[in-house]
Amino acid sequence: MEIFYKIQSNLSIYSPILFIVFLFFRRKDHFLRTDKILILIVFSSFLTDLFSTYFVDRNYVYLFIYSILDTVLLLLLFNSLLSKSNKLIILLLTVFFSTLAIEFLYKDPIYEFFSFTLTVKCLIFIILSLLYFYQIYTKEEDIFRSKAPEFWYNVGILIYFSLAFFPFFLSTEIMSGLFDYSLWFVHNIGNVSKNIIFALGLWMVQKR
Amino acid sequence: MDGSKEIIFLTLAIGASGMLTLAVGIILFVFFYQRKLLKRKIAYQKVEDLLNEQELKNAYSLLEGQEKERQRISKELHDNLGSLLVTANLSIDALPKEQLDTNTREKIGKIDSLIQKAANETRKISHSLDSGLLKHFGLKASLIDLAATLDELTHLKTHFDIQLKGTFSNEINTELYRIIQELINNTLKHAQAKNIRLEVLELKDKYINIIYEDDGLGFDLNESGKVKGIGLQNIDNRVSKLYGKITLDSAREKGITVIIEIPVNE
Repeated sequence: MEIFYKIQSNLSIYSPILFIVFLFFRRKDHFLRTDKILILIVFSSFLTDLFSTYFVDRNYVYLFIYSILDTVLLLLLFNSLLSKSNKLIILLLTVFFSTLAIEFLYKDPIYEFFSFTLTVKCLIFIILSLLYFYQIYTKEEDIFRSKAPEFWYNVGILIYFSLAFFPFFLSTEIMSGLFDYSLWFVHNIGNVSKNIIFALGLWMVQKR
Repeated sequence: MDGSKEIIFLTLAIGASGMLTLAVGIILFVFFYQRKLLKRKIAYQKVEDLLNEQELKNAYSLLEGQEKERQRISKELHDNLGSLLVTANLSIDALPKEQLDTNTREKIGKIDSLIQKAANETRKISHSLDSGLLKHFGLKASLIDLAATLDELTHLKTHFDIQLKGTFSNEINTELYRIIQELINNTLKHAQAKNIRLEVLELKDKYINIIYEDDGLGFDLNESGKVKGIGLQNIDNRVSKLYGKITLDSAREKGITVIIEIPVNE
């Protein structure tokens, strides 16, 4: 079980490497705002995972900072993807920070996992990706969307947050000692899938 | 595994699988919906292309019809009205003017001038409607036709030798035709010649050589004013326009020889 956990955990941590490799083959002048935001998201995730691996004792501090940064960047990404989304983005940002503030009152960010905030975060981004797909569905004239990098970024986000929703929701129980960490593999599968799909999206930048 | 652990495990397994299935389902739906839209768009595009093609065909047919009508009008003007005016002009030229009084001569001169203007205008209109023979059958056919017309309508006897193999641009064809027309006009107006000889040769696909001769009155080359007066200046301009060279040889009572060389590959 220990080996299984290590394998899937390492796969998850190093999964952005494919994205980084693809990044070197893409022409930088083709990058739009969405691509740049996504690159920041992937790098911040990768660095957080690396730091978490080498500073296990302070794992949750990095996760806490990363969650805020990741949320802001993802909201910026959706602000670019969705039309007339400013108010919605501000509303969702407020919801996220309110949840975080409430949870902050009851939990110690250094030693405890922010399960509720992360579950809400999952819901926020599931809603936003569904909205993006709805936007594609309603704009019939935009027929080449599925060949756009943004489409695949959104696919990655939806798959990741769909898979991460229940692990985050049950994270208190999973980490309570009832289970070993191997149950976290559901989240890790989501993370690996997300990074592979992001890499695929990045590969399509030149075909845009 | 006790009860609560089992519930948590099942919740995680079923919940995550359900969410993943839902997410993949939505993604696949949007993806295939987009593909369907793309296929529909391609089908519409094909229909649109076919319609455009049909529209284009209709437009071409219309243009073709217009072109044919223009050619018909042009032919009518050139063959009927043009010929009548040339005949009238020649008839006036044939009048024994020396036997007429000054007043009548002046009137005849004016009529002659008006007929010439009318002939010129008719020719211009005819050519503006269609360059006819020249445009469709080329220089050689046009010159042969010109020789036939001259033989039929004037006292001149023509000796034309046209050896052209290649096809030339409309501009070259038109200019060469006009040069030869101008040379013949000069002969008709001033030379009182009985014969004209024209050779048009294509040399090594690079040059067109024109040799034009008449057996008319000729003129003294030193009288430059007269040279300009007889319209050679006009020919010279046309030759220069084609980057060609012109050589003129003439003497009183010895007729005229004009040699023109036009490059066709430049």
